Formats: sequence, structure tokens, C-alpha cells
Amino acid sequence: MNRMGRISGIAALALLLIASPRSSRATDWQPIAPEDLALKDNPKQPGADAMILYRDVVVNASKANVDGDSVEEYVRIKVFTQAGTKEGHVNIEFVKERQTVPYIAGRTIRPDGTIVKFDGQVLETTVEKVSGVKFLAKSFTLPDVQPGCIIEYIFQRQGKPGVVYDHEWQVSQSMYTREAHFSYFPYTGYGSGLLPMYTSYLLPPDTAPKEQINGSYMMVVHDIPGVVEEPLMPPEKPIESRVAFYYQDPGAPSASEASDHYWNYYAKKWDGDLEHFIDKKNALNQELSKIVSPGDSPEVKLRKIYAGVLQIRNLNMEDFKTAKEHKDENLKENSNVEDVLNRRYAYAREVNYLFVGLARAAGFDATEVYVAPRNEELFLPARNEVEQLRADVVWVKAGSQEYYVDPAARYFSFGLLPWYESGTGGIRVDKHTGTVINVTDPVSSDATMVRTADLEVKEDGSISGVIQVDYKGERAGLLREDMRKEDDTERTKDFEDTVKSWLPAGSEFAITKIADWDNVEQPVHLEGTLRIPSFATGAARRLLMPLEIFQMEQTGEFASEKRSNMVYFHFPYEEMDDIKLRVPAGYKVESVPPARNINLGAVSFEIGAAAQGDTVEVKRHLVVKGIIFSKEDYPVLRRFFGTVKTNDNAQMVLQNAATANNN
Amino acid sequence: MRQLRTTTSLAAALAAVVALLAWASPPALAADSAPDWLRAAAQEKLPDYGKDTAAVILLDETQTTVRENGEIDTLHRCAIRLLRPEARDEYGGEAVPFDKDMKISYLKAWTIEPNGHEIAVGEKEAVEVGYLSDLEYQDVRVKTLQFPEANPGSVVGYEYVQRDRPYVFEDNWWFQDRSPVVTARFELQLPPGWEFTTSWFNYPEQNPQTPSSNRYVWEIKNLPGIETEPDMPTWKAVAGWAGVKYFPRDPAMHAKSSGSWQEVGLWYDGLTQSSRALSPAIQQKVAELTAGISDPLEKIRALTDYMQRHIRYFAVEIGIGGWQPHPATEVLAHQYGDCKDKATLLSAMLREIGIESYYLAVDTRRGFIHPNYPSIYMDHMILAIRLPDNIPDAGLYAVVHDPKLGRLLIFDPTSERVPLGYLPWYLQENYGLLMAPEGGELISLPLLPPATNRLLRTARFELSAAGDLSGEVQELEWGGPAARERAEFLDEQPSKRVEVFDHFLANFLDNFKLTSASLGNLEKYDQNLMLNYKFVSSGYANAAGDLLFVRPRVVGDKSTEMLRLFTEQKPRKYPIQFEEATRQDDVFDITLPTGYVVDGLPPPVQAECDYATYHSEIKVADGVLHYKRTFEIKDVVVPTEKLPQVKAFLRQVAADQTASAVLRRATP
Repeated sequence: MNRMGRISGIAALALLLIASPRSSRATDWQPIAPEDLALKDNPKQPGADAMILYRDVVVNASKANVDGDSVEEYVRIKVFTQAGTKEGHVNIEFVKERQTVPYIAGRTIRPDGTIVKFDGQVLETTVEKVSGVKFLAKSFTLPDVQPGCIIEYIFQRQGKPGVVYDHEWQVSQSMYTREAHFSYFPYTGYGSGLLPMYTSYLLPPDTAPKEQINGSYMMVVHDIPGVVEEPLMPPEKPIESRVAFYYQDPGAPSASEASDHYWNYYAKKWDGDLEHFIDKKNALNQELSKIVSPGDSPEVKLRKIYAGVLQIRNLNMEDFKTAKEHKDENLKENSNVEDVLNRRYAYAREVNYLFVGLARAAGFDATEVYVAPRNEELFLPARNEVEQLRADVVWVKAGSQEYYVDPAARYFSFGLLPWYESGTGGIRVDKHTGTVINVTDPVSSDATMVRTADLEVKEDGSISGVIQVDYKGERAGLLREDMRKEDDTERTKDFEDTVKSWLPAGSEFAITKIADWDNVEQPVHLEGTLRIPSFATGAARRLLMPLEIFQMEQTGEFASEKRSNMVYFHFPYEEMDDIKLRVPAGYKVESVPPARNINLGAVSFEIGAAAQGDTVEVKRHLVVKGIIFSKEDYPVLRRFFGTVKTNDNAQMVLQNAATANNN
Repeated sequence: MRQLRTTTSLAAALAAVVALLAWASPPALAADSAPDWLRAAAQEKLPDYGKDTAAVILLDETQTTVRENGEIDTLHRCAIRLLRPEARDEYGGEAVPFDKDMKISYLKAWTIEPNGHEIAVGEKEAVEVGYLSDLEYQDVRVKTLQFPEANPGSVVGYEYVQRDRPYVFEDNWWFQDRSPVVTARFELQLPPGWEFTTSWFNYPEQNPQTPSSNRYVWEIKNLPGIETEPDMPTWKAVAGWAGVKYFPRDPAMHAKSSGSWQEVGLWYDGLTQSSRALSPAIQQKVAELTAGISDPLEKIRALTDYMQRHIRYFAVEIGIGGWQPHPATEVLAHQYGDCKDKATLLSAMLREIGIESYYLAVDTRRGFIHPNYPSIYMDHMILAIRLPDNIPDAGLYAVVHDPKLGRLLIFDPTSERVPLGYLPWYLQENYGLLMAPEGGELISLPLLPPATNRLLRTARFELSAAGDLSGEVQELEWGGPAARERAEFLDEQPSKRVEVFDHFLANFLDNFKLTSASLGNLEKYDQNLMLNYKFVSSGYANAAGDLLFVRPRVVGDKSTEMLRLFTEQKPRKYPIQFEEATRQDDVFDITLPTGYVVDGLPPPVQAECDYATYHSEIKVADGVLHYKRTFEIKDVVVPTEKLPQVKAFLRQVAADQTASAVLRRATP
């Protein structure tokens, strides 16, 4: 028997009433607890400017087709400090073409309990108007907001009828939330056939949206910490609590189905798209014959195909084009690889499709892999949500060797992926299945910066000479991508500024050479001359100098002793320095600091100096192998980088030889 | 490759709508033709500007037409040759601000590609952007046009016609740009009987041509670009520009012409006459705030303190609201306002306790106000409080003496953390337009002496034989340093304030642990700010055999930021401005480890230039290393010719900051 059938009519009515969309008005203000008025700080997370005492969000899409959807929000905030009074100014953004804000009410409850009703002006601002679509904001400022007061406001965004949109409960806020209620009334229009689904992220234990008898969802949460911004933050999505509601694609498997069914459905669909696009064997073979030679080894063939595909104009790497420019250039949509090869331009995915087509034409097993870009989120296959997979790369196999490549990324060498596509999960597209795979983890040696210097120390404490920098692998790819629109002059200036940022204030550095900028298979190579005016300092007949001339870049990232979030490096990396310093005539090396070697597994550091004749050679090697470190690991990391800095700054001592002889 | 997939989210849906609309724009090939003036400009033969030049302004033209009824229409026209990709950032589009008084009646732009192909865009392609802020609301919006194919080699151009604000008859012609300008032209068409004046700044005066009756044309050729440098004076102080004023025939409109500072003051007086009217609510609030206070200065302080702490800064500027304050009663009722609203309410409240006060219009950009060019274009409003004879001015550093009004206490109600008696740094060595009873009067605002902006840092440390340093630092700050430090702490949530200490120490120490930290008088702005912190730094001193090297200047930095002003290879072209005159002292005692004696000390430093002095010395007594230094900035504007002197001075400071004392183990 259907369980629902056992609910009595009265009980069902009561549930429906409870679960009806609320229509708040000023009379709905909740009573103010005296203890909330007396509150001086957040007892569970002390030291805040303000906190959300209560929040109620009601999303009603039940009659989106005839009434439009609506979002009503009630927020009560306790202000603790002067800085917290900024919460008294509220901006409600909306889109004029699809929404109105028909209702806004607010009030301030002073610390003594007296209430000041908001009766000021609600101002409307045009945030942006593009091609007739207006993004507006309603702004209002609550009266007499002082530390100690409670402010609260209610507003409603009312959608226009006709379209059913996805919605989200944004549970995490910038402030701590003591209690929040959420309701969602999905679209139930006649014959919609739309099945509401949801995915939740980082909700507190034992908390989930509860489906009500009338098909709505409700949830109550307590004690949600505010999002704290810190250096080396992970992407926002994995650290914010939220619930995303969406409607299942018509014909797609239900999100509640077994994951393999779900992903197989999409893999089959994606495979169909790929097969259709590359189904031009003659065109592919003809192109292949221009690129590879029969005697090439498998890897050489793949490298040549990769290099060949990079020659296709990648439209995603160009500036945004206006409709006028598109029309003017007469760019046509590519239907298949033949179009791409004839026109020599393509969008990113088409570039990758072309690589798959050519690789297959050359006899390799190759296909597309859809991945979750790690700068946005981490792939959870058990969560049936296709939106996770927002990027694609190519998997190709030569013999027993597997490669992941992304020629559409354009600036990365063969076999190297942009960091956000490596070390993540995805679905490999096969004929009838989708295989869950983990894309190769990045390694530190794929992102190495090598700095060498040949410098002369002068008696006045200045040093000057030449330095060379090589950015390898990931670092080179990212630089090439970031600076792709710059000319030589701007690029030179940017590199000079980068090198100067490693040096003490007042240092001079000029680039003399940038090599291999356009060859993605080679490191980006810089050469230049530098002068640091007061590098060595005098100390009683001696000159003292730190071992490392380049200042550590990570200093600011680990300045704070406290940490709220995990530590997230985009990719593992290495720094290798080899600095030769010639001491001034008349001086000798009195002492150099002892060599240091610290190896904590995920991070390691070596530095050592050796004096030979009038020259000291300093070698330094810093390795960060890990990407994600828990916040519990933060003190260890902070100590590690503090020790690196200490050893970088350890002093070598030069002594005036004449004085030394007299001693 | 990352690319967005289909989504039903609102943003994506709208983007799709916008994209469809954009793609659906009908072709307008006939309208693509560039105008003759742009084609002519594109033919201009250019000299070699050097590889750094990103763009050249071929033509920058303004045509102002003034009508008999005072309405003004202006046509702006500009042609730019893009030389390098970098030019796209600055010249890839044009943004035109407008509001209900400055309507745009025509807007169009063109690109002439290197192959001669011409493309046009107009109002339909424009994006309109408003200004959304937590601090202000204004009705000014911006229409932005992106130039198609704005690539190196192309010539881009735009033209728009706009109605000017009718409030004042004043126009500033900015004829220099960051890029070189080939031709700058200004045309003025006046109604019969109208007169005009021009004032020229940073460029020799030019005489106009008069091609027809009441039509005047100024044209300047081949102007160099103004390179921007960090901490350079405001643009108005270095670039060439001309101020143009019109004087109508109709005496009824004379008030809109600012011929003298007095007239500007009278105009503003007309605008604000009823703003400061008292109301029972204001009187009640004043009575409440001053209840039980008999000392007149303390009464003033009670009101200024209320204004700084309780009236929140939020500006509502619509139309003339950029100049005209809201009535005092309204500001009190809303409990928020902008600078002139705050000045208005405070003035009304002061009047209630029998104290007169006057608006003082200022500009926070030092060098923006030219004493010989009366103008209402200033960006800030404060108050000049007339001190009665029974209020002594001891300790009130922001007092100026006016020959007619006597002692005026200058006060900025918007600057939340600068207490009564102090002048925020941006007002020092500056001018202000006093809206006195008989009209405007330009007054000089003084540069406060170094002693009013103080930092005194004292510390006691102990150094171990292993090189570890531990100790306690106390800081006492007032004036500018206190205001800045307070802002830094108060901008953080209380729980994050300890991180301000962490970040400060991380500048000087490699491996440290903050063991305690406290703040005194953080929110008592009229008291000295006190910082007290303790830390331990492992491996602070470097060991080398029997030697130990220790840097006596443990914390604090007087040179790094200023030396960054000199990092470019080429010499600076423009003066530098310091914020304020200041005196800062460090006095540190470091107890040396037992068994160690001093082997050598850095020599004392006596560095000075015309604008600053720096003295440091180290002595040793009874196993304690005594380090003290004094850094003083005496003047705030360094002219270009004195910059090498300042650079050399800063390098001396930098060298002293890193110098080490050498300790030797006396007993093995």
C-alpha cells in the first residue's frame, strides 16, 4: 500500500498549509529575543563585525508559467562593531526583463529595544544595460544602524511568467549564520514533465532538504560559519554550503539512478557528437599525410599531430568579438573536421575533436574525456550532475603509453595539461559507456623555475651582473596564455616587473633577451642584467650578504598564524637557483652558512654555498609536491616556509683581506 | 579546454538572450563609412614615437555651442591610431557619462582597419553601466562603445553630442593625454554679447582664431604624452589644460559664472541657503548630546564626535545633488549623508550651541585647486568652525586665522578617524574655498609640523646564543600614523586584528611567533593609539663560527615603499608627494647573550636631504645594545630636480636598516 495513502485528510491539509509558500509582509517580523539585543559578540565564533541571527528564504516556482517564480528573503542581522554597520546598506539586484522587486521592508532595533521603521527612499540603479536587457538594483539604507542594534529586512524578487529557471539556496554567507530556513516549491505546471532534482554541497551533518508531501523541499540549518577569504584558497564552490535545484533534462536518466547509467547516457551522447564531427576519413587522412611520416615513432607521430593541430586558429583564445565583427569576418559554423581543415579556424572543443580524428586516422586509440576543472570544483562521480564536467581533454594511447593532452589549451606542451584539468576526475567517452577516470596528477618537475646568476659584489655593497630565468612546463604554458595578447614591449616590461618584485626595493633590472616564446615545447627563457644598490651591508671590516638574492614569493601567504581554510596550491612546483657571486678585490670569504636540507615529503628545501677562490656559488632547491593541505597542516607549512626564509636570509661573511691579515 | 556548457542558470540564459540579440543586429553597410574628419586624421603622417608608445591621438576636438538661454551643447570628436596591442586597454572603446542633465543626443564610433576597411558601431551596440556601491547612489550612468577590430595599425574614432550641465558656465579643456596628441582643437560658439575668459595651465597661453562672429577656435599641435608615475601630483597639476569661462549678457544668469572666488561662494550660498535650518528634532538632539557639558570646546567635540561616529557616510547624488546638500533635518532623520550633508547637519547643530561655522569646499587631490582660477569643481566639503574668544586653541592644530572671521577650526566630519583639532593629510598644504558671509574666500590650509604626526616605537629584546630573539614592542602613535593604523585594524573584524600584527612582523622576521598583542585607545580617536606586542623569532641572528650577526633595527621600515617610486630604469619626470610631515622614532634595547662581546658596530648615520632627515646610532653598555633612530619628513612635495637627492637619501636609509652588529663569543 502506498505509504502516502495512510495520511488522514486533516493531517494532509495541515502539512500542505505548513508547506505553503509564505507571503511575508511587515507584520511578519519575528519577535526580538532580549538576549539577542544584549548580545555583544558571536559566542560560537567570537570577533565578528556582525552575524546573521536568522534567515528565511522561500523560493516559489510552483506557478512559474502563469505567475512567474519568486524568491522572498527575510534576514535578521546583529551588528557588533562600527564596521558591521555597513550591513545596513542593502543592494538587491534583479533583471528588469524577467523580474520585479515588488516588496521591500526593513527596520532597525536599537540596543535599547526601540524600533525605527525604514521609511526612506528605495533607489533604483542601472547596473548594466546590454542590448536592451537591463540589470538593475534596488538599494536602501536602514536608519540609525549602530553597533549593538539588530537590523532586519524582507524583500521579494518576483519573476515574470513563462520560463522555469533553476534555483539555488546559497546557505553560506560572508557572515556567520545562526539559523536559516529554506523552502523550495518546484514547478508543478500542467503537463510540465519536469522532474525537480537537487544537489547539496557541504551541508552540516544530518542536514538535507526534506521533500514534503506536496513536493516542496524544506531545510533548516544552524551555525554555518561565514566564508573566510585567505591566500591560497581552494575554489569557492567546494567550501561553500549550498543546495542547487534543477530540472532533469527531458529524456536524460534521473539523477537518482545508478551513476553508471547516468554517465553512460551522457557518454553515449558525447560520443555521438564526436563521431559525427570527425566522420570525414578522407579529409583526415589527407591532412595526416602532410603532418607525419611513415617512419615516425608513435610518440613522434602524436607530437607532430599535436603541433599540427596547434596551427589551427583557436577562436576561444581571441578577444571577444562583437556581432559586428563576427559578421564582418564572415566566420561560419564548422559542421565537421573537414570544415575545420578547410577554414583553418575552430572553437576549442572542435580543436580537440580534430586531434582525436587525426590520432585515430594515424591508428591510435583516442577519445574525449570530460573533466571537472579543479579551479571550480572536484569531480564526484556518485553525484549525478553533468554540470560538474565543464572542461574536456583528449585521451590517447600509443602502445602501452597513455597520454592526456589538450591542444585547445594552445600554450601547453604535448602531454602537459593546464593545471585545472590535471589531477581531477572525469568521464572518458567510449562507444556505449562512460568510464570514470582520474586524469594524471601533476608533478612538481612539470612546473619548474630555474634561475641562474653570475654576479659581482662591489665594495660599496652593491651587486650587479647577469641573470637567466627558465620557466618550464606548466609555468611556461600559463605565462604564454596570460601574455598571449601582449607585444614584445609589454611582455618585456611585465617580465622586468616580475623579476624586480623578487629583488629588494630600488633594484634595477633590464631584460636583454626573451627566447623561445613561440615554441610551446621549450621553456620560456629570459636573460637580463641587474643591479642591487645596497645588497651587502658593512659590519666592522666585513661585508654581510644573504645567501639568496631573490626574495621568497610565499612570504605573504603564510604571514598569518591562524588558518580557516585548507591550503590549495594550484599545482606542484619547483624553484632551482644557482647563483655565482664574485667577491670584491681585497676581500675574502670568511664564512658561509652551513648547508641545509629539509625534507617533509610534500615539501622540501635544500640550500648550500661553496666558496672557491673569489667566488661563492649558492645552490637552492625548493619543491612543493602537494596541492591540497588540510588546515591542520598549515602550522607545519608555515614553519617550513619560515625556515626557508631564514635560510635564504642566512648571511655569508666577506672580510677585508688586509684587515684580516692584520688580525 | 575549459568552456561553458549549456546551463539553465539565469546568467547563462540572459547571456544567450543578449548574444542572440547581438547576432540579430541588422547589417548597416552603408552606415559603416567613416566620416571625412576621421579619414583625414587617419592619413596623418606620424613621426617615430619610439617603441613604448602604444597609441597616438590624431585628433581630439571639442566644439561647445552656448545658446542665449544658457543651454550648452558639446560635440566631442576623437581619432586615435593604435600602435601596439596594449592600446586596446585604454583606447579600445569609449565611455561617456550621462544623466538627466547631460543627455547624449548622438553617439557613433568607427574603425578604419590597416587595409582601409571601415566598420561603424552606434547607440545600438552601446552598453549602459550604472554605479552600484555601498557608499553612494548617483544617477550618473555610462554609455560604453567597444570599437570593432581595435588592433595595432587600426585608426579608431568616435563622435558624440551631449548636453552639458546647466549649473555653471565653465569648461575645462584637457588637451594633453597619456599618449601623444597630434592635433587638439577647441571651438567655442557664443551668443552675441557674451564674453569669455581663458586661463592656461602647464602650457603657454594661446590666442584663438575667429573664423566667424562669436566663434573662437584654439588649436594646438604635437603635444607629448604625459607618462604616469606612482605618487605623482594630480593630473591637473602636470598636464596642459585650459579653463574656459563664459559670461552671459543677461545679468540674471551671472551667478552661474565664477569670475572670482567670491562669486563662487555667493553661488554656493544661493544653493544652500535653507539647508542648515534648525528643527525641533535637531535642537532636541543637540540638547541630548551636550547635556551636562559646560565647556564650549567639549560641546563642540560632542557634536563633531557624533557626526563622525553616528552619521553614516552614504551619498545620494541626483542631478545638482552633487553640489547641493540635503537639508539638515533630512540628514538627521536618515542618519546618513555624504560629506556636504554631514557638514550641513553639523553646522546646524553648532549654530544651536551658538557657534558659527562655514562650508569649506576642498579638493583631496593636493595641487588640484589653482588659486588664480576660481572654480566650483572640487571633490569634498568640510567645515570651518569659528572659535569664539572663550575657547583656547592649545592642542588644536587645525586652526587658521582669517582676517575677518578670526580663528577658524578646520574639521572634516567625513574623516571618521581624524579627531577634532587635526587636519587629515590630504587637506594639508592645500587650499579651501571658505563660503564666508560676503562670498567665497580662498584660504590656505597649513602643513602641520612633524611633531603632530608621530610614531614612537620602543622595544626591549633578548638575544640568545642560538640567535633567537624575544621581546616586547610598544608603539605610541598620533596624528596621521594613528589614523592610518586605526583604519588598518578597524577595517578587520575583531577576530582578524591579530593578523595585522602577523603581517607587519612578517615583513621583518623570518620565523616568528606572536606571543601576545594588544591595542589601546583603538576607538578613542582623540587619544594616542597604543600597540603592545611580544614575539619570539627563531634564528634571528646569524651565526658564523664564533661570530653572531644581529640586525639592531628589528622592526620598522622607512625606505622600502618610497624606494619603489624609483624602480623604473628611466629617471622620473614628475615630483613626488609625501602624505604628511612626520617624526618617527625607534628606540630598541637588545640584551646580548652571555659570553658574547661586540666585535663591530655599524657606523652612525646622519642622512639628510631638503625634505627629510634620518639619524641612527648604536651604543653598547652593560651587555645591552642600544639602538635608536629618528626619521623625519619636513616637507611633502619634492620637485623633480630634487629627486636624485631623495633617492640617494633613501638608499642611505635602506643600507642602515639592513646593517648588522657583529658579536664575538668571548669565551670558547
